[in-house]
Amino acid sequence: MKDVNEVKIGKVSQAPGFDAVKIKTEFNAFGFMKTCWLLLTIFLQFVVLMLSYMYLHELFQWLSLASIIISVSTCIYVLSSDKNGLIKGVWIFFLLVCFMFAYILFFASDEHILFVPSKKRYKKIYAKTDKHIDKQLSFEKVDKKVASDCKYLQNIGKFVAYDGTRAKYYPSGAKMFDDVLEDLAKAEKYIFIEFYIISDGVLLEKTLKILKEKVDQGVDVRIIYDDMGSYGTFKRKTKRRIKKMGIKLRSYNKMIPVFSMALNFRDHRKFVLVDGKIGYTGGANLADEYVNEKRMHGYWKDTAIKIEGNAVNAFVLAFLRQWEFLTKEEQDYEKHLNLAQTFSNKQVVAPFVDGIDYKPAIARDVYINMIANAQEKVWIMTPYFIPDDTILDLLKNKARSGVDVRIVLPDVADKKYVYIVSRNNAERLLDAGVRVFTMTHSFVHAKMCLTEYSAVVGSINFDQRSFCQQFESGVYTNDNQVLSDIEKDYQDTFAKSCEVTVKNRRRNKLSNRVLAGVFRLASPFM
Amino acid sequence: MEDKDNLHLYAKKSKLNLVEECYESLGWQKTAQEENKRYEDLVDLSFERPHKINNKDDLQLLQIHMEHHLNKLGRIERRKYFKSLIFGVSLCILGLYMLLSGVLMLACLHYKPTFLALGVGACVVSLCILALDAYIAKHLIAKEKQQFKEENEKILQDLQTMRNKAKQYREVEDERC
Repeated sequence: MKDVNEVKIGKVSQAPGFDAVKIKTEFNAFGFMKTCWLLLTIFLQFVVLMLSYMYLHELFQWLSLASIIISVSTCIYVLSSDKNGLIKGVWIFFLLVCFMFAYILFFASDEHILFVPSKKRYKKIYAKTDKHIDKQLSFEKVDKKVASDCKYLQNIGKFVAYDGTRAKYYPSGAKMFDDVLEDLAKAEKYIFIEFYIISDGVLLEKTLKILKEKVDQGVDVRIIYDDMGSYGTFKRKTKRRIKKMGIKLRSYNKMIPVFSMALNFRDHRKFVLVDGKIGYTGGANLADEYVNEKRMHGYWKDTAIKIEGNAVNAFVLAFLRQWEFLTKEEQDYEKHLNLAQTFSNKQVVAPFVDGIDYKPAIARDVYINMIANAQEKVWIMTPYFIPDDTILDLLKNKARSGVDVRIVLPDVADKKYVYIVSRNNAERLLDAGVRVFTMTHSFVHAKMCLTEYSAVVGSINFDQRSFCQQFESGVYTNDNQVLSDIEKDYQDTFAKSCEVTVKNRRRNKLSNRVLAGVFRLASPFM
Repeated sequence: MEDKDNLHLYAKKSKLNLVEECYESLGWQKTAQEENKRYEDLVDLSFERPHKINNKDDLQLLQIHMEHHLNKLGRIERRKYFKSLIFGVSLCILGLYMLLSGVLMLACLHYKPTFLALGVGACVVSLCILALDAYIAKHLIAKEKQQFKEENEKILQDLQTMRNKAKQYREVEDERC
């Protein structure tokens, strides 16, 4: 019989700081350590490089003078470049303050220098595969504003608008992945998957179970993931297991422990493409938090869109081009395109992608065109709100002209420094009559823009990374059912949100404005 | 076999019934309960529910709100007499310090009239501080008790509303896609 006075060794009577309930989440210690090690290595290299260069300045006087001249020349170059005002401002600040080495960083990160070989390869691939682009839809019976937006997509990116395509909107990642898993199980020819983040967990296991069955049935299964997005969460053991299953796996822009500005450029797209007939895109990645299986930053609000029909060709083409770029193997495009049926739907669906291979910033301009053409409402949902002044001024002008402009941001931050800048940017618009909402206890990860005549759902945040540095995907549509579903979801979200007003905004505090100003210096990288 | 979602969490023993009721209203069925290996006042709970459930998104958001309220309940209980404790202890320390100073002055420096007077004064002031401390702390405790009671009732009421809402969500089919 146990002695009631026996001391329980190792057990503490009260859990310190514990309130009532806490969800068990597995802490990925190895992934965390791996990420810390990588960041530390890169940071140390940066420090060593900068200190060495500053030491050289002390040794050679002429180097300081040369640096000043080069910095000033670089400022002039930046001013005359076609970068947006925010990026120009930040770079000029650094070039003048850190004149000893900032110009080296600038040229090391400038896409005209950094990605010249990659851009040449992309250009070659596009030139070879442009013949597979479908014919543009006739805009006779299409709304003028929609026609104008679609013409931009075609002129700049050769993205055509389709009719005869069905579209379905999902107000959550969980709903999207339920349908994704069902459609994957029905695949007969190929499955193409591209995500920024793939994480070990319940969702990945469910997906892999189906993909393994499909590979055994002879279906061509390919996965592209971003190495930085999936760093530390997509384990090497899982990658080996996936390759053993017969699934073709490729990473985009491998993370190496070497200081390089190229590490900043990522593949942020999210695709699931089945047999060229069904395509999904949106904000959700292949990880448990996106379907609220895992608790991170409160309730995870995401959205997605599914398209069925020939419009899927645009995404298949984009995927195969990326695959060809990564593998350097020629792809059989004909085999994978034009496999879908045509539906009776006459609404316009225009899928598009963006990336460093495109110029100008297509996704940004699509948003700008929509906002500029809107007459009744502009509703935006984004986790990060760090646009340039063009978009901020446009939103202010629209609100002042009586257009109902609303922005939904998260209530819970995943990156506090980004959140401070995002919130500050949104709150600056309050004086112009823009309404800002934060969804209570939630992390809003959805990337959407809705006007009275069209909507865009995709992976494109309202920030400089999405506009200028990352590969993105989105669907532009004027499908009435989709617009109605998106509006219903927005109304539902407003009801679950707190409205930020001029009186209660955080920007009223001086400390908040100062912090936001300081963090804004890193906006081009946020 | 029906696809099931699983949930594992830690809960405070003193709130166990309330936690179970809240999660059950969201459609979760308890499958396991174990004593926590590290802390005596915690239990490890496991739940499961069907993967496909009406209005799942709303239930998931409601779950977050419920957890927030449950934790708020625990937090206000932990900090029930926080202000009175801080105030009481601070004044008590001040009073004791004054008393000690007074006693020391009387014991060591009583031959000098100035220090004798100071010593007596310090002792008197310290006794006044200690008496004031006891009086104010008593009132603060009563006030905090009342505040706690009101907040506690409000949170419990909110939790009840959420449980009712959760039951409604589970019964009604989701009209959205």
